[in-house]
Formats: sequence, C-alpha cells, structure tokens
Amino acid sequence: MNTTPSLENLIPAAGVITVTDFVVLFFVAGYLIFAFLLMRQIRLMNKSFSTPLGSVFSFFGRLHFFVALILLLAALVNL
Amino acid sequence: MLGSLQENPKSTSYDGRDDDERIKYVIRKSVLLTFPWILATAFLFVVPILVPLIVSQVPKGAPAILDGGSVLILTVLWYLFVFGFFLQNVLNWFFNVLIITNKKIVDVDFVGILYKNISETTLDNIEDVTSNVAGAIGVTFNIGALYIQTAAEKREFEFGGVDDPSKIRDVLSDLVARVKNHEHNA
Repeated sequence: MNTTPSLENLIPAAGVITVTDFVVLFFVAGYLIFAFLLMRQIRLMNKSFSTPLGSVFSFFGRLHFFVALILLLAALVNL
Repeated sequence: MLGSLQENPKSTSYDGRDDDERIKYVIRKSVLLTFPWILATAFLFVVPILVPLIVSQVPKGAPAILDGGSVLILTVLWYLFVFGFFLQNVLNWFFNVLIITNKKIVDVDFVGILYKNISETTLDNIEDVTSNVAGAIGVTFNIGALYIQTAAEKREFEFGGVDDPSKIRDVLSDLVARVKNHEHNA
C-alpha cells in the first residue's frame, strides 16, 4: 500500500488557488501604493521644476495609477 | 531637450524663481548613462516569453496553483511594473538637474520616489568651478563631473555624469565672471 503523502492530498487544489488569488491581490495592492506614490512624486517634481513635458509625465503617472487601480478591482473580482 | 546642456530652455521654471530671474542653462546627466536601465527595461519586457518554457517543464497532472484570471492579472501587473520601472527612471533622469539662472544655481535632486533635495546659491557666491573626466566610459565618451565651490553654507555642489564637463565649466565660469564684474562696476 502506498502511504506517501502528496501535497495534493494534504491541500485541495481549490484551496491552493484561493491562497494564490489572495497572494496576487496582495501584490496588486502593494503595487497600487507604489503607483500612487509615483503619481504624487510626479506632481512634486513638476512643482519643483516645471517644463513643457510636465503634462506628459502627469498623464503617464495618472494612467499608470488608474491601470493599477483597475487591476486591483480585477483581482478582487477574481477572488 | 535631451542633451546635457540645455541653453535658454523655453517654458521652463522652478519653484521659487524670481520675476526678474531667467533660466540660462539646465544641466542633466548624459543620455548615454540611461542605457543600463533602458537595457534592463528591454530585458524585463521579454522575461514573460520565458514563462511557457518553464511551465513546459512541470510534469503533466501536477495540480494547478493559478487560475486563468490570476495568470492574466499577473501578466498585466508584470507589464505595468516594467512600465513603472521605466517611468520612474525617466523621471529621475529628467528631473535631477542643475539649473543656472542669471542670479543663481539650483541643484535639484530626486532619489527614488521618496527623497527630494534642493540646494541653491547665488552666482556671486561661487568661488571656483572644477570639472573632471575619469574612468574608461568617462574618457571614451567625454562624460564627467562638475564641482562648484561656494562661499555659501553649502560649500560644494557636485553634479556628475554630464556630457563635456569642460564646456559647462567654461560657460559657468564666464557667467560668474560677468556677474562679479557687473557688481564690481556698479
């Protein structure tokens, strides 16, 4: 009789996927904080040194943050 | 716009600029020094191509650890991270500048996303401007550093990695000499 325990027997596959979904959510939430800080930093940079490219950087900073926000919502829906 | 020495930049200002103050030069690090992080961005961009090769090594029948939704979210997150990495490096390169106006020099430093330092001194406080070029990359591409000694509280301004530092030293020295002569004659 084979008595070797396998990971699949100890933790059901559905349980593993739930855990990894939470890990993904954790990563996305952490990244959203970074994206928010980067957006604020661009604002501070543009205030300290304003150039014609300032609005381009602001646009990309906001775009980056909103994509991260949408990704967080997607990760929540995926749970 | 992308050179180390930008002369009379248009629509450019800094926080605290006086009404009668004009920005004469903006100095930033050489474009050549951006190559390491541009290459890193390109490498990070192609990393997901290797994932199917790794997945193909997993034995058939092994339990899945990620569902389709998570795989999609992680893929988008990875490319978002690559974009964020690139954007942050562009910003650090673009906004770390030495501004020379007709009245003062302003050193703007941003490190990462959590550190900001701005120092300034008037041109008549500048006592000595030194440039140096060192190392294989520096000698090959004429990239070096500027050291500006002042009589102000902050004794030295250092700005490294600029193209043709001798030319910038000359431009700055001439400007300081003109300001001091003007003051002396007034």
